Amino acid sequence: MSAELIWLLVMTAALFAGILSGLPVMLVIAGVPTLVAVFASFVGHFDLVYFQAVPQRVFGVMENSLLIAVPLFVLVGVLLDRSKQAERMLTNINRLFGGTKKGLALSVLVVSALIAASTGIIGATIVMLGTISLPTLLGAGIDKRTSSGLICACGTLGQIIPPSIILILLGDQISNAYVTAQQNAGNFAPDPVTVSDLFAGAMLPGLTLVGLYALYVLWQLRAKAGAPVQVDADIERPPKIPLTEVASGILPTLALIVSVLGSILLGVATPTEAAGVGVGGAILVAAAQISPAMKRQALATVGLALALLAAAAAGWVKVDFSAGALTATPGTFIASGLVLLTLLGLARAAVALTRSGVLVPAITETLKVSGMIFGIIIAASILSLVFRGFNGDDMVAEMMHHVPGGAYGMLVVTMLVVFLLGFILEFVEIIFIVIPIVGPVLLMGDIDPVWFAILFAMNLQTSFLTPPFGFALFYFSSVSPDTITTGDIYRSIVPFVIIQLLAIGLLALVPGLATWLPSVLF
Amino acid sequence: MKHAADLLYRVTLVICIALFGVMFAAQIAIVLMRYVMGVGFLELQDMVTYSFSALVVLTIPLAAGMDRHVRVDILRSRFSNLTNHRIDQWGHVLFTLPVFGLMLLNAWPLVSASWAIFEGSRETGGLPGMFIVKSTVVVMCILVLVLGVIDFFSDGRGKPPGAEDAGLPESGTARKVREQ
Repeated sequence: MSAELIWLLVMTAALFAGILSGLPVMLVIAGVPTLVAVFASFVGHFDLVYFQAVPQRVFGVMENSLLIAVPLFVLVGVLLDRSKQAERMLTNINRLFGGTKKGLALSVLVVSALIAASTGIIGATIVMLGTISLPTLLGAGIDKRTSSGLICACGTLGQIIPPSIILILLGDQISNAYVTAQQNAGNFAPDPVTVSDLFAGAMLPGLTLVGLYALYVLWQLRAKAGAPVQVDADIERPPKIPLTEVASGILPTLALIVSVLGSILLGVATPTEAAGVGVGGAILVAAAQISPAMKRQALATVGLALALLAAAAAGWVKVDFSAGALTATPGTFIASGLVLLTLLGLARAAVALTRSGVLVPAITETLKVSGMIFGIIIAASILSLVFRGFNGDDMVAEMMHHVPGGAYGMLVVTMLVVFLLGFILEFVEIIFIVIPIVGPVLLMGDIDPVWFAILFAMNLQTSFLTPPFGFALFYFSSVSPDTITTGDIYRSIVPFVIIQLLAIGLLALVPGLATWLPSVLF
Repeated sequence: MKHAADLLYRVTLVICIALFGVMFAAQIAIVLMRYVMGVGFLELQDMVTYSFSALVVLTIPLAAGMDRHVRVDILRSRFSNLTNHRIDQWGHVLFTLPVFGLMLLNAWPLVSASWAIFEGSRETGGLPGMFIVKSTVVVMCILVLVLGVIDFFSDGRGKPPGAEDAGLPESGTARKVREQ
């Protein structure tokens, strides 16, 4: 056994001990490798010169323009949540589908899928569904197991349904790993993998999951033969309300989601641009709740922006830049004036939202979530640096080549490791630790990077649902009533974990589920 | 001491909120100008990148001050407050100090080299002031170290500086586990 291997084993053991000690994971991931490296350098087994690369890596994260979308998308989610827009959507869709048990359960599913598309924050979604939907589901006579399982499973959909933070981070890491791997394999011009590819790739698998959940819930709630059918009458029928009111509760958020996602999938905008527009839209939607006057103004701003875009698409307001200088035609002035007006409308909405005490706390929350993510990214880069310093990357490559079954054998092993890591680590840590280590080896062959990324994401999502350490279950048990025991929650989730495994199996057998849409769109 | 930590946290928070505002405003302006008028300005693009760069590092002490970095609380929830505080103290000595100390030591020459030439944007025609952006790494290391020292000498019973801002929904952290 080489000295390096011994140090690596010590480091691994210390990492697990450190993580279990309850210290911030970021501190442990950065601290343990640093400490081990310092000790190893005393006996001449490590060169501390490696640490000179740390600030460079920090600068690298700071200049990574792909990551700009992360805080912006987080704010969209937080705003929709804080302004009660997500809640309104939930109650309104309940009204639309409500009345029967199946309708109610399906409405929870549909809303979760939509909210997943808009926020992608597991904790927030589960807390919201748990506090609002759970009482309704239980009140309608749906047993606590089906209700709990449904809410936990739906809450994690945000990880897989784009635009999700997990896919942005995966996109960054996978594209690096893929380029390295292909270059090592002798292909010096690999097709780059983009975040948009992953978003498109995740659409069908995500919708498949929603479909499978729906089938299961329908089957579970089917009218039992011989049982009295009058149960439905017990449900408190929601008061009839005008359809326009329902629409006004659902449509703004729906339009926001569709436009953000659509512009990315159609390749019109980059994820960062779309995220910026998403924040603008979320500010307008949230501000429209404040007063009728604000609502009119928000609508006017949206209308103006849309009109401007339409005019631009028709070629009416394009500025002539070909001569190398701005030619000031009257059209240019009108166009810039209107753009300025749009920005002013947005600014007024932002000011109103600040006055009503929503915007600043929402940004504060966003900053904390972002800080947590960036901290882990930087910490993981220290870990992988030390790992490399001990030649760990060569050892992993060596080990992977000995796995029976070639590339697919390696894939299975990687998936198992990721699944187990998902019990104690969050997705950010796993992505930034695992992908740089195994990616360059795994992606050398003909494994499709998009397919691999979606399998990876779905695998992580499943591991958050799996007892006893699933994060989703922890969040749920913190908001569920005492009558639902931990045992109930664990049992409730089993069918959904089986569905997840089925879906992963399906995706593994039919890579086209993930690769078809990106190939058509881009 | 507690006051100093509070003040540092507040100042960082205000700066970060301002940076976020600038980043978003510039980004939305870029989108409107590009898609409506078909023009783009490198200065605006740099403004987004610079604000984001500073946010990447400055939000780290912010999350630390809030005790919002993810912890795995399987055991932590069973330990007494005092035990957990002792563990935190060890964490500061064993991890915070070497990690951010080394980072500070290694970042210093790079940042001062950047100041020496008043490094500007990578793109020709971009904004000047890249050296200020790079300095935020040094600021971050110092902030984390100072907050660590203050926490080390605290009695472990006080709330973290930004605790009153903490509210549901807590996203992406394992804190819920602790509160069960």
